[in-house]
Amino acid sequence: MEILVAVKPVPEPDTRLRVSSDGRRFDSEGVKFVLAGYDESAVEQALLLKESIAGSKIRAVSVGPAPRTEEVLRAAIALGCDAATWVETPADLALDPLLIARALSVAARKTSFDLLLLGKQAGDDESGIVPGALAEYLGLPEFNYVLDLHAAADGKSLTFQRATEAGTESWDSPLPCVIGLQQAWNDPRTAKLPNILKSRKAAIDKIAWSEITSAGGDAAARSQSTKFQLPAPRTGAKMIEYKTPEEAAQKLVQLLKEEAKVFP
Amino acid sequence: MTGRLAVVAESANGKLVPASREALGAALQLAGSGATVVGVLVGSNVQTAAKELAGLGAAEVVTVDDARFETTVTGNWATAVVAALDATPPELVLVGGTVRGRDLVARLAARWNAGAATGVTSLNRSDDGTVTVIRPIFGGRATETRLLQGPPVVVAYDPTLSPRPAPPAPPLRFERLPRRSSRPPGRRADGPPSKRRRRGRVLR
Repeated sequence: MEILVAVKPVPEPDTRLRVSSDGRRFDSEGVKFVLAGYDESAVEQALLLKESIAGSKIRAVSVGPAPRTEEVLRAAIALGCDAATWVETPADLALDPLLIARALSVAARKTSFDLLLLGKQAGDDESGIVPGALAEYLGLPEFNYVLDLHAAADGKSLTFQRATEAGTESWDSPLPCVIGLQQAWNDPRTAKLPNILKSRKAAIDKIAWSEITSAGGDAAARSQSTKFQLPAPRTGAKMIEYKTPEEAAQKLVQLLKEEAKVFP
Repeated sequence: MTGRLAVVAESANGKLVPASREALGAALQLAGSGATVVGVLVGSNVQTAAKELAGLGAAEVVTVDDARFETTVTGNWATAVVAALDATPPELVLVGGTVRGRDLVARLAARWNAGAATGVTSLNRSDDGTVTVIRPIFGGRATETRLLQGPPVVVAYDPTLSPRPAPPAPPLRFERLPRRSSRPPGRRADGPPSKRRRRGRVLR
């Protein structure tokens, strides 16, 4: 089975978010980018399929600027992907989910694949548009929010479950298809040090952005962020100054009675 | 506003799903008295839900009723919606923020090359037709205002999403305390293991 896994670099989950100077997006200066959590599950799923079906190959593909995109592709190779394709975008290009899906579809057409795996959404913009739009551009069936995916012994079809508001649906699908995976149902492995060292020298196939723009269709973003806002700091907290726990308790009860009016 | 807005609704057990009611409410509010709100219902046995959609304020309701929609993929739903709206394309299409709704937004946006957004908690259309939406991102740690290029624009409306409150400031700092020198090396510390591990002090 030939598996294509689309991955996206996102800021580390515990990154302290800052607003950029133009106020339109988050300030990525000095921020460390990592493989998106849902995409990590997709890579793990691809590795599980590769282990269960002899002769399987995995190619990671990503769209974005240097150096973050190259770093996540090398992380995917360190985890066990056999090859990688990088659609390199200009650093100042504003991407939107539709444009990312279009670029991924161009990259996907340059290679053969039976299954295209990706996370159900990225941890930064959380749109979840890419799986559906990518399938639309490729003319394939697509399933998002997928859990518990297994391939048939002959590697020609998949069985899986899909989480919906009404419960869990069970599906069979022939290949090829596009699958968006839920996080956390599988337990993504960590890369081993020798593999990390090897991944630094691995060859990555590059696709220039000009190839995407010349591939036809609209190569401009159809939506753009005009304002990025952090929530206002919480107010109303009152710190109690005290010397002994008894004094703290007395002051707390007094505040609950007189200000919060919790007690009569 | 003027023009046409479409709400692509979903039904379950003969009733509109709550997300579709919310999308319709947002569309009616945005339309005011000048625009027409068209309801589109795709699925199996949707006639009762179609009446409900009309009763809630949709000026027109288009249904695509076929038992095969019970077990079909989103791509076929998108084909049905495009066919239903093809005669008089709307400027704005609202979908409830369900699993299928979000998938449908992706499919419709790719077919129409439309500006699209999901997880939208509020939306605005200015007099010149520009649509902006507000949506939480980064797991609710921030919000973005996004300008959508259209027409048409496609939006998955989900008012149940809300930004998380900001983390407390300043952040916690941890200071490692020096090891007590009075204890002879190798001797078991007093107390349970969980207490022995507490060597840090939280500072504010």
